[in-house]
Amino acid sequence: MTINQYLIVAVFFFIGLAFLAALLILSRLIRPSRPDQGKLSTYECGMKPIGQSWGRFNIRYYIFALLFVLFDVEAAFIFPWAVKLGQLRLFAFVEMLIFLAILAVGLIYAWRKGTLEWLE
Amino acid sequence: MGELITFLALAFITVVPAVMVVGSRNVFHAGLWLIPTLIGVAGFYLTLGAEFVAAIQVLIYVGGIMVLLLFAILLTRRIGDPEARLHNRMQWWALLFALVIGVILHLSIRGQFGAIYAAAVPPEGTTAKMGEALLGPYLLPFEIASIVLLAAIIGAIVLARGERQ
Repeated sequence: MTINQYLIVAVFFFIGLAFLAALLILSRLIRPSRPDQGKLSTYECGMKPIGQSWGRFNIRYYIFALLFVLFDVEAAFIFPWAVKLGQLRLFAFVEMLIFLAILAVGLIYAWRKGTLEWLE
Repeated sequence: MGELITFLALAFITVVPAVMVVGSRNVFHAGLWLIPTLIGVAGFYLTLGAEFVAAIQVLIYVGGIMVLLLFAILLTRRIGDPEARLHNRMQWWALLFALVIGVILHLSIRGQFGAIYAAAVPPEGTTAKMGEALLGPYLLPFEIASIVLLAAIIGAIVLARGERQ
């Protein structure tokens, strides 16, 4: 049965969760608690945060995320191809080259338009 | 028994966060609640014997689409505004319509495919089968998929450049 194969995964997951919870509770019980303003700041050894964290993000982050998703989808197509490559050999190889070449056009376009560069 | 427990556990981590998605007062938190829902759906794929689809669900939906969605939420103009209203007074109508659509879907899927699902044995090695299909009968759609992705890349870049100017 398919489910039984994943039972061990579930067991690992719950052991991991229990281990983490046990360590956090244990450390909470035995550590001293002396908070001060420096310790409670967002970055104790860094810059002081300015304003709220709910600000608007730069659209450039969105473009990087969008390009990531598109190439993520591309990767999803490569997995079944890789499993079958040993049997179909040259045919499968050429087909994937065509697939990747078409997507490479998109990457080159992004590169040439300067989308991959981080302008301040 | 094990199957029932698995199903109930997965249903819990799918449905409860899904209710939180529509119930959250903060649109960003609603987006975050979508993550366990999508992981739960991946769990359902696993129990149905579709390992590849489950892996892709996590890789693309949880890893990619969710990042995109949260960025999109952070790009909205009133993200920091605590006065922004996410709810209107239609929630009971929405609940009613969701229930009706759920019942219709359940009845139609059961009526149409119930016998097939009851008889089906989860296939072994779905990834290899999918590769076979992609490089066999679905070769042309597979190559066209790359053109669709290319169009999406170029479209995204054009839109982003328009925003900057």
